[in-house]
Amino acid sequence: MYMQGVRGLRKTAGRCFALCLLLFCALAVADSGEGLFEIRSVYTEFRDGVYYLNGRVSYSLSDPAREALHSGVPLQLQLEISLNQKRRWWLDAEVATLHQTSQLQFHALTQRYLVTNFNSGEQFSYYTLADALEEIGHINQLPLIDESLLDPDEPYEVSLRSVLELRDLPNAIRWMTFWWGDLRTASDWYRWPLKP
Amino acid sequence: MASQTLRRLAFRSLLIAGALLWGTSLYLLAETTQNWAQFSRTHEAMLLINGMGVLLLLVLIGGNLFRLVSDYRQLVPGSRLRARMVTMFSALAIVPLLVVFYFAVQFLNKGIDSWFNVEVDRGLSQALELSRTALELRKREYVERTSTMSAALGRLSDPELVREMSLLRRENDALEITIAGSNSRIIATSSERPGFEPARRVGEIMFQTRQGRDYVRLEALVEGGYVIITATPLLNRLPGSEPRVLIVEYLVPQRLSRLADGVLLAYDKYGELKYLREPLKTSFTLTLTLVVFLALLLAVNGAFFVARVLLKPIPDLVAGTRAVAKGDFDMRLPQQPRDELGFLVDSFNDMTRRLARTREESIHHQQQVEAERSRLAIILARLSTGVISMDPGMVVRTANQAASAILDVPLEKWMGHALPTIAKEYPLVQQFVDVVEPQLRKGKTEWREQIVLRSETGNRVLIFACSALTGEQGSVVVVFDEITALLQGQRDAAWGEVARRLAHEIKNPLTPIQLAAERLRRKYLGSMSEEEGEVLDRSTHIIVQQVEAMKDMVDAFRDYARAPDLEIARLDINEIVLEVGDLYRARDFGIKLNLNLDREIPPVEADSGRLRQVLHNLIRNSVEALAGSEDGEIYIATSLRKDESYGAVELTIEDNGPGFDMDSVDQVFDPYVTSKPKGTGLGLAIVKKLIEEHGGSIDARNRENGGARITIVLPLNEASRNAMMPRLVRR
Repeated sequence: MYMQGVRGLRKTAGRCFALCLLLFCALAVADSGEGLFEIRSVYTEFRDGVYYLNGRVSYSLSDPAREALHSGVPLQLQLEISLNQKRRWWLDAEVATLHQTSQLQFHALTQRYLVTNFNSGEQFSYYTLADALEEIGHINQLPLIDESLLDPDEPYEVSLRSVLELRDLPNAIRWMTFWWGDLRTASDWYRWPLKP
Repeated sequence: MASQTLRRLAFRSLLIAGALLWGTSLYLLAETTQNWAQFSRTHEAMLLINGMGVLLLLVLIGGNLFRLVSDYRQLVPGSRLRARMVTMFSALAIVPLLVVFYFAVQFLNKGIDSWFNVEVDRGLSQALELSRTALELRKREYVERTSTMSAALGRLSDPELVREMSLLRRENDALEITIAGSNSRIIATSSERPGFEPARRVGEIMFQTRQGRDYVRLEALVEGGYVIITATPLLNRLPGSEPRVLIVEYLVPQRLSRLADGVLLAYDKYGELKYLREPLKTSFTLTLTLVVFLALLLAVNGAFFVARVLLKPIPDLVAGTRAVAKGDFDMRLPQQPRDELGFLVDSFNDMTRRLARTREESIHHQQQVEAERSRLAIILARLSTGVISMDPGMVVRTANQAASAILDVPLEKWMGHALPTIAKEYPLVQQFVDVVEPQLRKGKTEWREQIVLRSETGNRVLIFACSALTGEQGSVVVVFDEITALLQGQRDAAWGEVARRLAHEIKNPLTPIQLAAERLRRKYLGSMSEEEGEVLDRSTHIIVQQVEAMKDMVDAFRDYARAPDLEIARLDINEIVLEVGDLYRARDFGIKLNLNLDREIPPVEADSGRLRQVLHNLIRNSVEALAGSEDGEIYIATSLRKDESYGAVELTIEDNGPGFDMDSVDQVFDPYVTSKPKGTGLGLAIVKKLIEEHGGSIDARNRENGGARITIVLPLNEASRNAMMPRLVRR
């Protein structure tokens, strides 16, 4: 009788462990944002002692993000740019980081998509979501760094990725995205060298 | 002890701090679902803390469970009760918690669902539609105005356009007026806003107006409010001239904008809430689940803790009871809180303390009793009086050496045996029983009596005194003393006095009698006839002869009665035996003299003359006893007798003659006791007196195969003499 009890206890403990393992695996693969944001082209341009960034990013929203947008939830799309000094024998040194944030919002009254650039403060409206995302995806003459801040003898690397920023999303959505990641969308890091 | 208290205090502080931290993080975690912005930075940390808390609780529960199962299998005291309590407490905590959880989830879902209903949804949609309709009217009105302006501006030349555009803008309450040419080129513009750049909007507008349709759209401003943008191709253009588009922006009245914004805000918020309904439910349910799960784990862990704390004294009590059963009364259980179990532990400690004290007192009393008994045993051993204690069945409980010696039985080997049983092997004991048993049978425990025990060494006069032992029903102690020596001493003293008086009273008239007889003979023998003279001569001769005999007898009395005057010196007793023996060998009595002397005997402190006299008397007695015997033999032996407390020489003189008369064997040392036809009867009495003057003892008895044996024990020195004295007094 006693041995049966112990055996049952072990069985239950084993099941709990298996359940926890399954949940952990589910969480690990839950990132569904892969492939929605894609950096199509990007390059640096040097002019008048300043490096500028140009490029194009393809944005595509997931169904939950699209649903959130049409429910009145504003989405923030952010470009994360990082300039690092390459070092052979040590970790790369971060020289500069730059964040360019645009907010995408559906205006129910006008039935248009509003795009607001947080850096410039400009706001434009578009009739279609594709136009709005196309507009956000344009990187045009974005100042990266002044030449004087770079060492001409050292190699540098620019990294870029685009992220659906969740920081200002409603609490409940953020809470959910923490666990399920439906809205967590980001492109891969795109890296290219910069030689002063 | 102090370090243990300190450690316990530190542990409790850590436990309280951890619990507070955990509780706070749990609270903040719950708050996070409501106010993300405030707690977003600490959210991961809080989750981590809670996760670690869950992990810690799971580890604790696992450890507790493992220990409980292990204890259960090893039959550790209290483990079964602990298992039952853990199960009971866990069930008591889990079941209500699960019920509350179920209803909480239900209420939560229904509560969130109750926020939304069709009427509100429809009302908000209709309000938004109403706003749109109101703005639509404005849009139509502004399109008409733009068309009117288009007709007016189409005819004008380019230089006239700027002035007319400003005029028309003011007249029509327009915000901006722009004329764009083909390829979206700006021809002219007029605006209230300085630095206005219309170029960005032109592309979209040109795309639509190029198809010949009017363009109108409502647009929200960043700074708030709305503008209506209208566009139409410029009319009345000259044939062949470049097609142009008139773009006019009108500011929606502020009141209308505010109302529209209000409706939009409510619509958006409601939409957002509607969208968040499921995530909200899930997030609340998740938080609730996490909190309930933590509470469950805490409850289970608390069940282990409470069971352990409550039942902590049980294993201690079991161990303590086992220790007490093994006789360990020094076991003290740790103090417990002031509850029933604590009271039980206190009682146990009090009990063991009392038991330990009682045992110590018992040991102390036992030691005292043992000491008293040892002291009593020493006293009893030293006593010349025999002591025997016995129970109502006459079973011997105590007996001293004197009792063994008097009754001639090793009583120390017969402890716990009844005297009648012992009496079967020892005749003296039978005589003892014959005296004691009738008295006890009569129920008499207090009596005194003098009896005579008969043995082969002679009669022994004993005086008995019996007393009841207090506290032991029917048990008695019999004290008895051999007074043979005492009586003998009294007799010796009486005989000494008689001898002294005889010597004094009788010897004085003897010489005048002898002298008178000799004078009569000398005076009248010559004058008498031969026949009368013969009578006188024979008569005076008899008188003189008898007077001489009387003188010898008186001398013998004198010798017996004289005071001791020993000349003690260290001498070799074997040498004296050899000298005396040689004298008798030389006289050739026809008796074989056998000597068996121990050469290891040390010198003896004694009077050599008296010893020779003793030997002469004894050998002469033996010779006289063997007179007429053809194979008479005398054996003289010396040996060293070593006792625990003294050293002595044993001298034995034996013969194979007729031995002592059994009826008078105990009186052979008395004066005038003799079996010989001749002799004064003082020989052995004098021998005994001389030996006793040396502090020794003498014993006479018959040999088993016939003949007499005299055994003399002489102390080696003064110390031995003193050690032997108590024993001699007894005899």
